Amino acid sequence: MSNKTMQKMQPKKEAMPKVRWISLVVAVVVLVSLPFWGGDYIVNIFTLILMYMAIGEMWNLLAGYAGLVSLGAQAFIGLGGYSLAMISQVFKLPFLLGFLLAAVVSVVFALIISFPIFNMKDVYFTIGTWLVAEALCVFFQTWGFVNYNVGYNITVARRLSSTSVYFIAFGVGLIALLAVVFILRSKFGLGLMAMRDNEAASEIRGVKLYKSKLICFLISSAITGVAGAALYLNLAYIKPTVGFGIDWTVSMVFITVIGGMGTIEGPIIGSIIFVILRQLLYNFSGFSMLILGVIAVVMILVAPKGIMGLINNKTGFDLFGVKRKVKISDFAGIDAASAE
Amino acid sequence: MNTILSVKDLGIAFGGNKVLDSINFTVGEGEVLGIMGPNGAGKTVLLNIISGILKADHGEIIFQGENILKEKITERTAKGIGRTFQVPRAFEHMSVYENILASVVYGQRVSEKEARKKALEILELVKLDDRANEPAGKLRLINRKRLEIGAALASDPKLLLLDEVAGGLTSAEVAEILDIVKTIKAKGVSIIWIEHIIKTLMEGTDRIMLMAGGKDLITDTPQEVMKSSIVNEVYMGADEDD
Repeated sequence: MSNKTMQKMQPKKEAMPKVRWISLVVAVVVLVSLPFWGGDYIVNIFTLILMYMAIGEMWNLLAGYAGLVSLGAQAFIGLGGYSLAMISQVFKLPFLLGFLLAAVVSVVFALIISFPIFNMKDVYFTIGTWLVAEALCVFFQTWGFVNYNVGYNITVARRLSSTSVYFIAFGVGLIALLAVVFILRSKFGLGLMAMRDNEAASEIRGVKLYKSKLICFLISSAITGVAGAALYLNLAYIKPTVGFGIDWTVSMVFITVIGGMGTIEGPIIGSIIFVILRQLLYNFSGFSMLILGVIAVVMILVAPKGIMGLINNKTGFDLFGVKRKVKISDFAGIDAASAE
Repeated sequence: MNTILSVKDLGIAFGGNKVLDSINFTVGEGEVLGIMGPNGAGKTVLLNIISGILKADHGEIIFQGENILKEKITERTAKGIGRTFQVPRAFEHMSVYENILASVVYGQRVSEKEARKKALEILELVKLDDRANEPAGKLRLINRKRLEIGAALASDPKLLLLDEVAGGLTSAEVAEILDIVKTIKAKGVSIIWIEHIIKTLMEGTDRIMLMAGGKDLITDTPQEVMKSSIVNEVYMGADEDD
């Protein structure tokens, strides 16, 4: 390898890991210690940010990487919320089992609906997922076992302190984030990133599209279900029209679009902006979704890849180290082998 | 020379319009078969059928003694068919290295660890080692073409399908691509190369097949094909009597 090549590759190597590690350590220290120095309001805000980040990451995993733009993610939020309600209110079991049930029910439901909806392409898939969620909502409204349209008060939520709910949200957020980081750092993730950039080309290079999409769908559904349980632990009341309401997916889309689709950092940034905006617009409930919609449209026009896309383009910033880099020493090994 | 690919009576129609009409040809092991012909001749459609993107209406594709006509795209890649696209299809947000790495991992069905060395070798072969960490989306055309060839090589193909890899390049850049193709040929890889630059095909191929209107009109050595009056007919619209 030439000296010119070595000079080109050298500078990028050193600086980024330091920034990455400092950012991650600061974030973890702040989040873990937050309940001990932050007031109730701040803790509640971060509880929401962590939960929305979790569902944003899962929607992003589907739409941003697997190319599956779903408008039916609320089905899993509702299933998660109802799993928590049934476990704690009907079966009177420890509420944490509701999280386990949420994951299991969501995966089973995702697997069942995957057969018809995976035969739908592009916009038909999007419409299909939405219809499935709507059908589920109607079904729950007429199902006596889940108390029809009346729903449930989730009383366990009132017995928990805001700190307990915060740490549950922290756990769910961490699971969602680590799941995406782990996936993207794996061989499977390499294929997903290829799919994200060019589906047809990735298939020619050997990526099995159906299998990859199905795995993504199942993982995303399971964690969205768990996040749904956490969200309803915070909201303390669930009924079909709210649990399976499309507002959930609209939030996920906003978070991902604003933050940056197809990046891990995007939903983190998006969820912070989303929750803060929702708080600022609290007194304008009739207009809040309209204003969020306008912001999303402007953002798409100005920065189609979201805030993280802009940052990534300009700096190559990669907080979670999912990018594979070549070191000079790697080429030296190849050169030496060739020389022999 | 043993035959690696044998195409028999291959045909496809789009809405009643015959795009390929009973194509027959063979490719030998280590041979470079050039394909030339005017726009609409069916050249890219032919590569799309061989690589599995399109399904033929009839015919056979015998690759290493096995009819692969019903095999999925990914299976054909795994069996040893690599291809480039006319307009390079890089994974834009991934680095050059990641593009090749992903293609090795999935093309050869190996672990990422096993794929690293092979990916670095390919980067050196296509002369992209100095751009390994750059985003593929920011490459200029010649480097995108190099990356496209590298990604196609990543599955360790026995047969490489090149679709106008020299198109849109300067003559100096075309010479670079020709060098890379010659290096690949020297490794024993069979190649089908669609190209509009006749001079490059003359220099870089063992035989040329001329296509027009979805038919294979003549297949012979480059010199014999260029001597043929059919070439004039196809490109200039001239009859033999003119």
